[in-house]
Amino acid sequence: MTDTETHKFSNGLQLVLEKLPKAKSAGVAIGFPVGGRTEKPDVSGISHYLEHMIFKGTKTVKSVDTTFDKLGARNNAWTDVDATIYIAESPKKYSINVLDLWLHLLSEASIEPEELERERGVILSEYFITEDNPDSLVEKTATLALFKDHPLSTTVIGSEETIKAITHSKMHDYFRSLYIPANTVIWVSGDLTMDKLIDCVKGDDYWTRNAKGPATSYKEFKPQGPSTTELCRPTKLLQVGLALSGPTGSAEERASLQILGSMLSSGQSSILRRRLVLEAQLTDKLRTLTPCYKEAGMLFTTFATRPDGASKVLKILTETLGELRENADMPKEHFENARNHAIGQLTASIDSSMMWRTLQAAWETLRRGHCSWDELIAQLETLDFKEFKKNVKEISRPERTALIMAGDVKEGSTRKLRF
Amino acid sequence: MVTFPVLVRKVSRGVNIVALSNAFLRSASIVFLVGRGSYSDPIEGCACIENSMRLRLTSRLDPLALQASMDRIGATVEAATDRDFMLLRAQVPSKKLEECLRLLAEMYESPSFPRSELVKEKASQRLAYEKIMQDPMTASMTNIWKAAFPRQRLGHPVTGYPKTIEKITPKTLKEFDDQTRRTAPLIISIVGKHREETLADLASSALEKVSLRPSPEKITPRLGPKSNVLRTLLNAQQTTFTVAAVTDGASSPDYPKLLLLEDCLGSERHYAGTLFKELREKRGLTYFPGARLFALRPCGLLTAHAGVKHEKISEALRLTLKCMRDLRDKALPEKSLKELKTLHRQIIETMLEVPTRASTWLALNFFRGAETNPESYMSKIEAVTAENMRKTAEKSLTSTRVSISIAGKPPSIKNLAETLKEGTE
Repeated sequence: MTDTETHKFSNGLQLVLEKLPKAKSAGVAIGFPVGGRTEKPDVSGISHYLEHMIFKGTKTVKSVDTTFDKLGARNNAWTDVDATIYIAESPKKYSINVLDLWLHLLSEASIEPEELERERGVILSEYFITEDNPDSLVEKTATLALFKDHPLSTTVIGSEETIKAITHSKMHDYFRSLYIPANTVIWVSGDLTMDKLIDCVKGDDYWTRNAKGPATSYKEFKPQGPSTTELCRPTKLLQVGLALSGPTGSAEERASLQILGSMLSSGQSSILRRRLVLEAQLTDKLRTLTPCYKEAGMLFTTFATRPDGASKVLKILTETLGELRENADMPKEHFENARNHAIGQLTASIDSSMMWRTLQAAWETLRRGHCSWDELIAQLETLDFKEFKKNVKEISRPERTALIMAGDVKEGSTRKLRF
Repeated sequence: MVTFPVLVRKVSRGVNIVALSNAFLRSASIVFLVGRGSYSDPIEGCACIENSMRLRLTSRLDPLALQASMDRIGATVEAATDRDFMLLRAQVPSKKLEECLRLLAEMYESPSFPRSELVKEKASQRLAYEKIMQDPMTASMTNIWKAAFPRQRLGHPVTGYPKTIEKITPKTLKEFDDQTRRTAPLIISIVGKHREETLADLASSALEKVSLRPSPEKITPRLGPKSNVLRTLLNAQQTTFTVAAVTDGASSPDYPKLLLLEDCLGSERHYAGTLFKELREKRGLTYFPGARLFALRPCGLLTAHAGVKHEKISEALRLTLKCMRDLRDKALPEKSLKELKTLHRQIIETMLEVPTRASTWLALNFFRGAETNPESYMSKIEAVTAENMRKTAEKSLTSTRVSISIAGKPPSIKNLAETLKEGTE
């Protein structure tokens, strides 16, 4: 069991301490509900670009990485379609200094015009990496294709055109209006006390003021699929991505999406791994993600295959989705194995690095208001088989499906596809 | 140094268990490492295929039954092969540790190579090779071994090539497996919440049948008379290069110095090294500059890489070579070295709390002759001086030991060879 303590400041800032009495290191995460979904289309990618700019320092901290190095800390940051989170792990004794440093950087970032220009080259280089790597290309297209007209339909990194269109004043305004205390979640994991964390936050005026920003508005997601997307690229192999939008909200629905991820593609004995890897040998491995955003969840799986195997792959995918919809004969043993796999994956990710642990916890808190590992495990452990089957019927509906193919595809080749 | 209780137990000749206890973990991680890899391939790709077949089925469990057994206990199991080892690694919720150990022992002890399954695994491995070769980053990093060790067994990709993979038969795998059992050491590393003695007992009891007579194949790298340039042409938006210097290995007294040289350039532990500062922060040339030390037991490669727009290749390559050359020509200021050591220690301490990273670190360090005791490891890092670090760089960063692999739309070989010559002189 892990013990968490929450302190909510009067300005809305939420501070959570996950107490780990025997931990030698500590993790700090600071998150904002700022991501692709908060951007205007002409500056798509600005949240991610801003994340990079935070590392350019302030008037008093010129070299961010050197300052973290001195605290024995590893740092990083992550921008997703709905949130940006800054993370670090360090020896326990420096964790308050690490929190203090992040708070300073996130309130006082200089964002100099020259630095902005220089960083544009780095952002474009990152963008071209995703264009050159079919796996990343399909992944970044998944939310765009699946959520269509909904604000979640965004690529995070933006396009070459929008990255080039981001100006200094737009960046500055975006930073000042959205990185405000009312929006902020701070998650700290380690052998620490809440008093010291509160003192640290109170020590920086910026985080105790009552600045108001635009309220984050959320919109119900209505499935609009099925959709197919073809990305023509001169690659030898074909990269296939399958995305399903999951309902969100109740614990049962959420646990169902996670277990379905294990049953469909991430489990060692999952249906697609069995059919595509072990039996037909149409691919070597599958990669699966199941993010649960506030407005919808997503089950995304991707793999490479040879172009001559494409029709077999599509047949297997459509048949599998059909079987999931008509799931009256689903063996309970498969459900139990998938459930155990999902629990194993969650346990493993809790035990991963402090950076990853706090990143996930901050994400969860931004999306649901709180995070409890024990509760998440219990949700998986107690999910009823009938409830699962009912939810799977919903998740595998054709309207909730998007298929993405990247490679030497003939335009229109997936149009005849019937889910 | 924060204390981490590590226990090393010799089970029989060539079979060792390394255990680390961490009371607050919810899961455990186990590594079965066999000291034989692609360097010993009778046909290129053999070790990798053999190891993947272990993840596919056993003599008792068909593929579906084996995969279901893993899911039933919530275990994530991976197979990884390198030039000098094959490993199976699992992470599992703590309460299923014993079952997971039994399963891994079965996968290790009772492999099966039926032709029907081998055909599928070969198709999978060919696909894996093609995937590597269509991405500029992975292609450049894979081919650097070929550039550094041309026409040698160290040089070929661990996956083998589509043509060589095709030649592998059940007989090839059976003979390779028999030979491995006779010669290759086995290391089991285990990290979990139990006391280290208990962890070692559990690992030991899972391995009752194993008895090895190890006399592992010695890896003998040959250095050519000149540096090499290898180009891979790809229709990509960026070009990626990897520069590598041949170094001593993990068992050498130089290993701690090499680790700090890697950190200095920008390692996975400390990415914000000189390459990050020079190529990314100062000039905005690239997103992912970095360095990696691949240290086998007798030799290694200290590599530096970056992916940039095609027209920026010469500038980025010159800068990278300059960053490497500076390590050779100027001793690091004492203050910087002290900071680097402190950072290294703190990152190792943090890493040892992560089960899969800790189990892999322990198994590899034990196998390759580096320290497994965190205190001894760190005392060797502490003993490094700026001058002996510079001398280590001087030994490796010479014109005959540095090679380049480049993938995308690279300049001509002549241009690259000239840049390399200028950059290492």
